[in-house]
Amino acid sequence: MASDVKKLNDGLSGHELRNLFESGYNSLLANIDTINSLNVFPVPDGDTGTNMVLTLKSAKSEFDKENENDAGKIAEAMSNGALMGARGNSGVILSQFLRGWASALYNSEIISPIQIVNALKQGMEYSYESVSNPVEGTMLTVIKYAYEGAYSAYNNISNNIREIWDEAYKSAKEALDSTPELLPILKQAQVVDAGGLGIVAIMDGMKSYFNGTHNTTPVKIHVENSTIAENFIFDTNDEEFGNCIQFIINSPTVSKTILENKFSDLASSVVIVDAKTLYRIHVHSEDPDPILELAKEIGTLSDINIQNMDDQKAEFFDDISSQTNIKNDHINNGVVAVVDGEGFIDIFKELGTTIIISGGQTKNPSTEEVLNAINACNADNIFLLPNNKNIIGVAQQAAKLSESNVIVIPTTSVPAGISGLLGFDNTLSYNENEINMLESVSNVITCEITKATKDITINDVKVVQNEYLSIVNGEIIASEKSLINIIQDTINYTKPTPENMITVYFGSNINPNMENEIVSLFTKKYSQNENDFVRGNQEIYDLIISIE
Amino acid sequence: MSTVIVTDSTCDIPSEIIKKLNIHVVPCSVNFGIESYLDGVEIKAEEFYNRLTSSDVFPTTSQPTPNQFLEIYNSIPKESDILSIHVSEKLSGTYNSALQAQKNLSDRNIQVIDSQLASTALGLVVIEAAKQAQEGKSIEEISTLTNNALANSNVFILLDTIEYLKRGGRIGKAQAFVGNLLKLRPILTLNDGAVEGVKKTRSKQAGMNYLQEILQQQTNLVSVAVLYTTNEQEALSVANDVKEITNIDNIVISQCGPAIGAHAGPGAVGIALLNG
Repeated sequence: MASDVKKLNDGLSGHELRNLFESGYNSLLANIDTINSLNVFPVPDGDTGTNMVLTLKSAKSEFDKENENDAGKIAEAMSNGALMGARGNSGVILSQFLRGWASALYNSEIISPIQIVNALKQGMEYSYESVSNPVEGTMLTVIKYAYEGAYSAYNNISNNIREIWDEAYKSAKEALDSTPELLPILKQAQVVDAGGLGIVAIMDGMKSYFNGTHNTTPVKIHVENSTIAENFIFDTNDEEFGNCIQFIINSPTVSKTILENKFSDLASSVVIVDAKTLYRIHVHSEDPDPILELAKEIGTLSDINIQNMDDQKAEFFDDISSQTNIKNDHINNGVVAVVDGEGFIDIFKELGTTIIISGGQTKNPSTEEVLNAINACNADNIFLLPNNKNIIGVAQQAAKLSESNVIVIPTTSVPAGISGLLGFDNTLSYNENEINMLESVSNVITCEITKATKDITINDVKVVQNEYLSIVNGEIIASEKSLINIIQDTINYTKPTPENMITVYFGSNINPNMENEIVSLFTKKYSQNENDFVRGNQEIYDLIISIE
Repeated sequence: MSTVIVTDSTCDIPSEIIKKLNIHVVPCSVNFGIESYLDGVEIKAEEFYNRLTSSDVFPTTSQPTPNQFLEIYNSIPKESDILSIHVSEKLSGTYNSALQAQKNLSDRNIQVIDSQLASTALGLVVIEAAKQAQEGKSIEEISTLTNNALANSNVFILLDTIEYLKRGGRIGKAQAFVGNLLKLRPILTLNDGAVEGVKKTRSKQAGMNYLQEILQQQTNLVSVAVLYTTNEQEALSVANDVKEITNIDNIVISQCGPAIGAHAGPGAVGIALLNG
C-alpha cells in the first residue's frame, strides 16, 4: 500500500529504529536455514545463521526493555545486547557492526539521513577492527559495500532514508553475489558467504520496513548456487520437543552417576555439571512436574528455569551450560575452557580447569556465557581455552569486556586445549604461563574424523557425502568410505616419529565393537608409537586423534 | 677430631661410593606383607623391582629402629664425631629414630640433621659431607656446609606410570598430577620436605624435554646425579645429555632403592642437582 511507504526525509525516531531492526530480525529468522546451509566445510558446523539470529535476538531483547523513545538510547541498548549475546565469529562481527551504529547515533533523539550513512560507516569500521586478519569475500565485504552504496546514494541521488537504504541494500546484495569471486574457498564450494547473506537478510527486512511491507511474511533471499542446501544435513535435533528444564540440586550424598541414571529414566538430553555438593541439571521433557518432584526428593532445589523449546529452534542452544552459579574461593590463576563431550569434560576437570563451559562445534557459547564463566572463576588472571576456531572471537570479546586479566590461548581443538592445560602451572606468573601454554599447544597435531555432509572438492580432496573425511590441523586431507582406511590415511599423512604419543578420543557414536577394531588396528600397525585410547564422547567427530 | 658421616638407605648412593667415602648407611626395612627385609642388605634393587612388578602385594617401607641407629653409632670409634643426615621428616620417621639413639648416647658428639630431602638429592649432599670429612674438616664446619648444601639440592623424577604412586597412596600434594582418564607422566620434586608435582607431561619425549629444560636453567651446578628405577640404559642416555648441557663429567648414576622406587614404579628416571 502506497500510504504505508515511510516519509522519512525528517529522520527516524527511536520507536522507528526499534521497528526497523525488528523487521531486520524477522527477515534474518526467515533465512536461518539457508544461511546455516551455506557452509563451506563439509563438517556440520553450519550454525552461522543460528549464531547471527541469537546475537540479534539478544540485541532485540535489550532494546525492547528500553523505555525511552530516544534513537541513541535504543541503539545503545541494541549494541549492549548484541555484545553480550554474540555467538560464533559471525555473531562477534555483527555485534561490532551494531556497536558502530550505537557510536554514530550516540546522543541522537532523531536519526537524520546522513546519520544512517554514518552508522553504516562506523559499523563497517568496528566490524573490520574486530577481526585480527580481515578477509574480503566475507560478511565484512558485504558490510563495506552497504556503506558505499549508502554514501554514494546520499551524495548523488537523495536525502531520503528509504532511497538511501534501497541503494545500500542493492550494493550489499551485489557484493554478496561477488563473494565467491573474492574468496577461492567459496568458489570451490560454489556458495556465497553465509555471514554476508545474514547481513543482506537483515538489510532486506529493514528495507521492507521503509517500504511499508514489513507486516507481510519476510521473504527468503534468492542467492545463486544455493542448491547445496538440499544436500546439507544439519543436525536440527528434530526429535527434541517440550520443555528445557534447568535447576541446581544441593545434596552431599548423591553422585553424578546416580543423578544421570535417575533423570535419564524421565527425560532426554540429560546434562549434569557438578562441583562439590552442587549439581546443575539440564534435561528436556514434555512435563516438568515429575522431574521437579524427583529433584525435590534428592536435595535442595534452586535456580529453577523452564523454557518451552517449541518457541524456536534457537532455544535448542540452551544446551550450553556452565557452572556459573558456583562461587569459588579467590585464586591467582584460573582456567576457563569450552569443552564438548562428557568424556572430555571429565578430563578437563581432572586436569584442574576452574570453570568448564559445555559447548563446541555446533554449540557456540555467547559472549555473556563466557563472561559469566570468567567472573565465576574469581581469579586475578584467567586463561581462556576456546578449543574451537568458531569460539575464539567470542572468547576475545569476552576477554576485552572482563575486568579481570584474561588471556585467550587461541586453541582450535580440544586436544590442543588439553596440551595448553598441561602447560599451565598455578604457581607461575601469568606471563610465564602464557608462554608455556602457547608452547605446549604448538606441540600437538589434531586430527578430526567425521562424516561429510555434502559432496565437495577441497584442496584436491574429493569429499563424498556420508563418507568419512579427515581434517588435520584444520585442513581436509582425505575422504574414505571406511573408518579404518581413513585412520590409516590420517596417520600416514601426519608421519609420527617413534617418540610421538598418539591419543585416540572416541566420539559418542563409536560403539564398543568399533572401539575394539580401532584399538587392534593401532596395536597391529602403530605399535612403535605409544598409544592411548580415551572416551571423549564428543559429538560431530567420530574420532579425534592427537599426535604429540 | 675426625668426623664420620651417617645416613639412611633412602639416600640412594651407589655402594662403591659408600665404601670409598666411608659413609655409614642405616638400612630401612622393606615389607612385602609380613615378609620384611633390610634395604640393600637382605634385598637388592633388582629383586625388589621384580617383586614390585609381579606381586599383588604393595611393598611398604619402615624406618630403621632407634636400636639400629644405636648399633651403628656404637660401631663408630668413640674418638670420632658423628654427623647423621637423614631423609625428610615429612616422608619418614627415620630422623626421629636417629634422635632417640642420639639421646641415649649423651657422651658422644652426634649431630642429627633433617635434610628435608630424599633419594639422590640427599645423596649428593651426603657425598659432599663425606668428602669434607675425609679432608679432615671439623663437624662444625661440615654441618654448616651441609645445611647450606641442603637448601641448594633437589631432585626431579619423571614417572613412566602413575600406577604405583596411586597404589602406594602417598600422593599428598602430587594429587593433582595424577590423572585417571589420560595417560600422564608427572614430574615430581621435593618442596619443603614433601613430594610435589612440578609438571604434567604425556609422552616420554615431552618429559625428557622438560628434564633438559631444568638442566639448562641451572647456572651454578656443583654436582649432578641421574637416578632410575629399572631402565639403566635410559639413565645412561640422560647422563650423556647432562654432560652435554652442563659440562659436568663426574655424574653419579644411581638406582633408586625401595623407599622411592615403590612409589615411582618401573621406568622412572630423574636428575638430582646440587648447586653451589
